[in-house]
Amino acid sequence: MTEAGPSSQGEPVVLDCEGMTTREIGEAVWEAVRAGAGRARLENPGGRHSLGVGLPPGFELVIAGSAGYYAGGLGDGSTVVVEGNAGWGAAESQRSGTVVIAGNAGNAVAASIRSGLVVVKGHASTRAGVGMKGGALVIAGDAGPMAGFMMQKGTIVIVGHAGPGVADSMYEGTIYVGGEVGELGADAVVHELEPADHRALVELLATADVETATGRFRKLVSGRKLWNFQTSERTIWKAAL
Amino acid sequence: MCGIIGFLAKDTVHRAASGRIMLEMLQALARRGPDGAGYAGIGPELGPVDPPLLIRVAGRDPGIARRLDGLGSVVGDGPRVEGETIRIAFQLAPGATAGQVEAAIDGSVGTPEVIAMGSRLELAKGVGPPRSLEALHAVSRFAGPVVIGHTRMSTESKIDLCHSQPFWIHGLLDHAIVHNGHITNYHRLRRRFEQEGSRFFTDNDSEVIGVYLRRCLDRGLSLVEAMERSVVDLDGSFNYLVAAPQGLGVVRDRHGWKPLVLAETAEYTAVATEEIALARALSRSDQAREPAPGSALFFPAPSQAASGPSRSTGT
Repeated sequence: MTEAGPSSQGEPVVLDCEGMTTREIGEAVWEAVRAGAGRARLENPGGRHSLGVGLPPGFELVIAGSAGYYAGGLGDGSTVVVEGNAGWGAAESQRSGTVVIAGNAGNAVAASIRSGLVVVKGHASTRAGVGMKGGALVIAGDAGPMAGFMMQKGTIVIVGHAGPGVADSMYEGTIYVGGEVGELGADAVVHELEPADHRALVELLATADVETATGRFRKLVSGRKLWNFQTSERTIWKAAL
Repeated sequence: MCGIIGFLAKDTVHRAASGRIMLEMLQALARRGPDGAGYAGIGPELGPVDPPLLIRVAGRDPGIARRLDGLGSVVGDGPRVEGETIRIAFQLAPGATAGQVEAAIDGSVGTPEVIAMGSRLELAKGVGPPRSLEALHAVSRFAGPVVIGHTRMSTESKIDLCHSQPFWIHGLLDHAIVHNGHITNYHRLRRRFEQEGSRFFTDNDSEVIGVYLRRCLDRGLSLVEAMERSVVDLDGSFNYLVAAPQGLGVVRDRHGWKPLVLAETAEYTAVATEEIALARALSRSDQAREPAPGSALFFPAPSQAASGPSRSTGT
């Protein structure tokens, strides 16, 4: 997914972001979209915010360096590759498509995505996959505190360690953790992998092009005790709120 | 909003360039807040001779130095007006203390605040964006192992020089902080600290961080211990940085409410609200990562003797 790709898309439009405003960069990318270029490459992104946001199906964008907030957000079938790190909210609310971050991701990567794939090759900071509504987030390194907070659907894979508060107040969805699991979030339940889980995990890691040496993954799901309020479970609610 | 940066140089090249790097990082964050800007840098290590005190006072009246009569003598080219501040290099008389110097200038109500004091601390701040800092104080010429900076978006307190950051920690030579966020138990802490004798000079909630640290140090805690304890005692959202002769402190609140990235290489440690600052000022930022919430990290400044011969005369 990160290779140059077949020539059916043609040569990418290369934009040097140096000296351009964020608005000018965005307009230039959309000009490439409208011209039917299919692919674009942003040189010297310099950690700028809102790069590659809301791109249409089939469009491929490579950000040749680090990006700021909301990189590749609101994508709808596009592919955005960040060759450096990404700031807060990368791939936020992605509708479909793929975002790959070669480095580390900031707070709330893949927040609220509906489908598609988000891959973090480095480490993810706090609240990775918060409020996910579908799709998959694969983190090759560690995840900071509160990964999968209030997740509603979809899959998160944390190949490394999961920070404290993982899987807090989930409705539905699945989190696989390969490393150590920190203090569990409210209403999180740990299961061993079943054969079907194992197959799904192997497939997802292959799609994400993430290798893992460890075979000892565990599965975290919602205990569903927060779905309905029950007086007898007041303590769980107090902890959750 | 607000933007903060911190830089610790580990070699002579970066030590000589730390003022320029600080300014470039700060300018990259300028849109996070145009209301005020400032920096605090720890200058080069000093020789064995008794160094003069560097005193920075708010205001434009160089005559303020006359209040120091009897405590020692003004050295260098005399009290100098820089922007909205007066910079005084002062040699203490035998027996005179830095505490007496500060009390002589701002010891009573209504007097101009001493905004910085120490033998190695350079601090300048004022209203306006980072570029005005360079225009008034030529901050890019600063050279030293540790530097922090701030660009301010005022939310709750006055827009003037004294409410701008960094805050020198009153009573503690050569220590300053910058803060991004909001200390939500500020009023309660301030009331308690004032009842117990601490003095506040502004209505900016960030000031309480320095007061807090100083109280911990007065009780015998180390700076790192004080930073660790602050994570528990301070409420709200905060990333704050400490510039001290020993190095650079980096503290995040328990929830990680505010953004912060940190990059460490063999040549430097750099920390900023956004990676955009690292990308602008430094050739590589590939190691940048958010420190874990609740972190209280301290990066010691390597001694100059250990990291190659460097002799800067400072400013």
